[in-house]
Amino acid sequence: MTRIRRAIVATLLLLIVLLSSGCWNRRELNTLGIVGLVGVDACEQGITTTFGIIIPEKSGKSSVGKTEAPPAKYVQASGKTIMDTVRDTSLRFDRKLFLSQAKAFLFSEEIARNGLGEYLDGILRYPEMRLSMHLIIVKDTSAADVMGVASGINIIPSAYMEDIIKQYKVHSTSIDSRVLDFLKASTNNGINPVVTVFKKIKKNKIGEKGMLDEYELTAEGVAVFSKDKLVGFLDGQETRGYNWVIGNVHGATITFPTPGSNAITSVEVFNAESNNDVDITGKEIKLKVNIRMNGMLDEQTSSVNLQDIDSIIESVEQGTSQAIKQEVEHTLLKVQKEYQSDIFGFGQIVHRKYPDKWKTMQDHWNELFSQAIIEVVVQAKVTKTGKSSYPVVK
Amino acid sequence: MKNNKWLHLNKLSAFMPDASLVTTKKKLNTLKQLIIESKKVTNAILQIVNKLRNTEALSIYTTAISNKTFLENVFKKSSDVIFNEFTTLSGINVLIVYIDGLVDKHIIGRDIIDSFITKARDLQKGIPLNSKILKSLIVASNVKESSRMSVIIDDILNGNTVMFVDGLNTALLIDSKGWEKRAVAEPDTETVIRGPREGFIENFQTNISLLRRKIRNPNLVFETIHLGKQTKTNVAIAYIDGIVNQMVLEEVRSRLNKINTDSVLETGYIEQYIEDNRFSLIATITNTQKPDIIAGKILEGRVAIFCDGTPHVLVVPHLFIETLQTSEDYYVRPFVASAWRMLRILALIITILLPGLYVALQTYHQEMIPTVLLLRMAGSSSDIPFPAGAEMFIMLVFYELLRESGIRLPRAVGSAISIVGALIVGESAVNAGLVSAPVVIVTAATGVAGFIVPALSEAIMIYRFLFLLSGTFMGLYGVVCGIYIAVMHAVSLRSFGVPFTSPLAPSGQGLIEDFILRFPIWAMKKRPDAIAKDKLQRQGNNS
Repeated sequence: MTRIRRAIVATLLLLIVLLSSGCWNRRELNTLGIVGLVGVDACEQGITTTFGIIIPEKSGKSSVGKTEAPPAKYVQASGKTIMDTVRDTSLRFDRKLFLSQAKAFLFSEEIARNGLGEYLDGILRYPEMRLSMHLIIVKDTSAADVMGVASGINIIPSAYMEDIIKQYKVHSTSIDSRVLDFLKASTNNGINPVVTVFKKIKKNKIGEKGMLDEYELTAEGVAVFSKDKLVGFLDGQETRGYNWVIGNVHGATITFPTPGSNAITSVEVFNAESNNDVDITGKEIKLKVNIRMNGMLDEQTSSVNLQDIDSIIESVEQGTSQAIKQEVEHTLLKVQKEYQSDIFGFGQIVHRKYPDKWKTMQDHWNELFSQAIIEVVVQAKVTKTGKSSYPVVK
Repeated sequence: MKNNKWLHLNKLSAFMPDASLVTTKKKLNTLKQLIIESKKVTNAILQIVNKLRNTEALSIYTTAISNKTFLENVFKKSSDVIFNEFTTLSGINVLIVYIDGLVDKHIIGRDIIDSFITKARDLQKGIPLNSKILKSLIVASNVKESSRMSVIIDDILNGNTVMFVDGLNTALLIDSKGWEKRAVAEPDTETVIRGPREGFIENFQTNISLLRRKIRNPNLVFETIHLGKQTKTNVAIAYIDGIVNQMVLEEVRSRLNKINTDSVLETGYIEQYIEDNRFSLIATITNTQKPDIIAGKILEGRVAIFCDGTPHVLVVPHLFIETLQTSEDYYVRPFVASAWRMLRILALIITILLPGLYVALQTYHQEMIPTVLLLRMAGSSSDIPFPAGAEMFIMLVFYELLRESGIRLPRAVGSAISIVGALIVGESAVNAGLVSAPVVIVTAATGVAGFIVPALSEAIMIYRFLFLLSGTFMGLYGVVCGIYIAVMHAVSLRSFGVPFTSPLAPSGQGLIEDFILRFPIWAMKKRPDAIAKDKLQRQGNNS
């Protein structure tokens, strides 16, 4: 009897231990509003936050042949902080907002110019927020304005936006910036953050029916920050220049005039890597960028047969190098002179290479960076000429 | 209170003048004496009755007719006990006794009666009869003699024929067993694609011969004992002398001998008496219906327990890995066998954990589910009236109902169940919005995976529900706690002294080559040392 009683007591104790601990935040799936996008705009009270909530598809219904509006709903709330507005939405929306699946955080330009730090603090603290969310600056319009646009195949706006961001590897004229990257860069003295930029543009109307989308989004360019404040933008080509320097070009097409003719040559980039260095001699700071690139001749409009002469390939390689060099130097100069913000992380190199000197430099590094001499070396290699050796133009 | 009591006694004495303390005591004593004496008498009577009943020490009578009356009394004139009296031409009075249905009538007619009568004709008159002469009159193969009534009764019950001859104080016990039995066929539950298809049947002798045919070795030993005071069931311990782990064998013997019950109808009875941990969900004794599996297992040093009347044979010690092994693993090439093993481990994990994990992820950890999948799940559960845990529970209970009824139903209506199950539960419940489609899928996957590991299917069902409960109330934390508890429990188990989870824990004991991967047969040179202990070498160098 005592054995059985002891066993029962042990089981009950175990049950109490297990039931009284465990995960407390039980919530059924059909009580949640799955947030896809969060947009933050400035307003008189502080901020207006727009939440894009995805409407889950009912099972049994196929999504084929649907021409309905994007499957998302929006709820807005104004307040002092983001967390404040999250609670506030419950007054008007029938589901509790669930932020863990949010794909991107959008900030308007105005907010970004005043500094993102105070808003990102909430993202860092709140357990439901993910630091791997994409961070986006919306140019020209308000953040809420771009959230309803989904002109791709994917009709969920957050998925559409994320897919566009992820395609930066194809063209290298934008970047994929995450909240965590921003936090890391903005709190470090030797590097400043850059952020993906989205812009709403009007679409040309083609055809009569089925082409209902009036607007589309473009992710070209980046926003340059100094600490957590927006200082300016780079356009697409300048962004590619930035990507060359940090070794982030995964694919691109470089176009330049064919040497020795008035035709144009395109070279596709297979892979590229960069090797950056900083030399300090006395008061002079030299930023050295060494880029190596491997590519294929993509297209040319001249009648030069590349198969015949090796030197022509060499001249194509030189042309490529030259084009990349120009791009990189232009970007470096613009960032140095116009924005005075070390978005490339040369400060970190100094920190590693000259730890003693860094201590005196770190507080005015951006100033020193803007006055530094730059040296760009590009080694381009063109190893293939595509499917054909012979030009179409005779 | 005390005063009151005395008051009451005083009143009694007033009522009855001679009711003093002394006289009452005297009367009481005499009553006690009477009771003791009457007990003595009943004991004496019982002893006499027992002597009459107890046939243990009784020897047989010399006349056939008195033997007949005695046995008729023993068998309570049961109609299936046949007493056949006849007299030969030479004047010998013979009584043969057997039980109808347990004997082969051909043997009795041809080899006993016919032969006896024919040969007795040639006997010279006047020669004193003895058992030697009588034995020569019978052509049946196995003839023993005994004069003890108890032996004779047991033999009759076992299907032998007993012959009493007038004037002889020993009876002849003639082997004439022969009764209806099922043909050796492939067991329904252990079908294979490759390998022998024969399976054990209900007949004890046949089962033993099936094993003997696999291992033609004098070291294969069957130790037969009788269990059950009423049923006197034949139970045999089978092992290979020289390979078997003596400790395990001793343990099996002693545990079997400790069984004190009136009936053993199936090996399941024995299993429950001799298993190590009676309150564990996990069985530490396995059973099989296939001789090749038994052969393989006892060749590794295990002990098999046969029981008359059932095709299921027990094997001890039983380890966890055996639940993932099948006989076919050893008949196909190692690559396929290893792939199957891994599939089975996966199936085990799926069938135990999937419902619990699904509910845990859906109700607590939505952030862990990929967005697109979460949207699908949210879409399908958006108008379901039940919480996810209850929904899963209902579906699992429904699945168990279907499964159970599928087993009990007559074959002819079996297909109705599958139609009801597939159409009504699968289609209609989802369409009606009572159950979400992912839950149906999870239930189906769980059910299908459960059949891949049949040896554990009973324990699995209960574990599945436990994990579902812990997942529903405690999320992933609960599931992980459950895994901890389940694993700790499994590791603590022993089967006849052998750790249940070896060779994983403790590692280094036994055949790791035969665990997740099944190494080639020629590479498994040793027997598992957790089981065979010292006689480990299985084969020479074949590579």
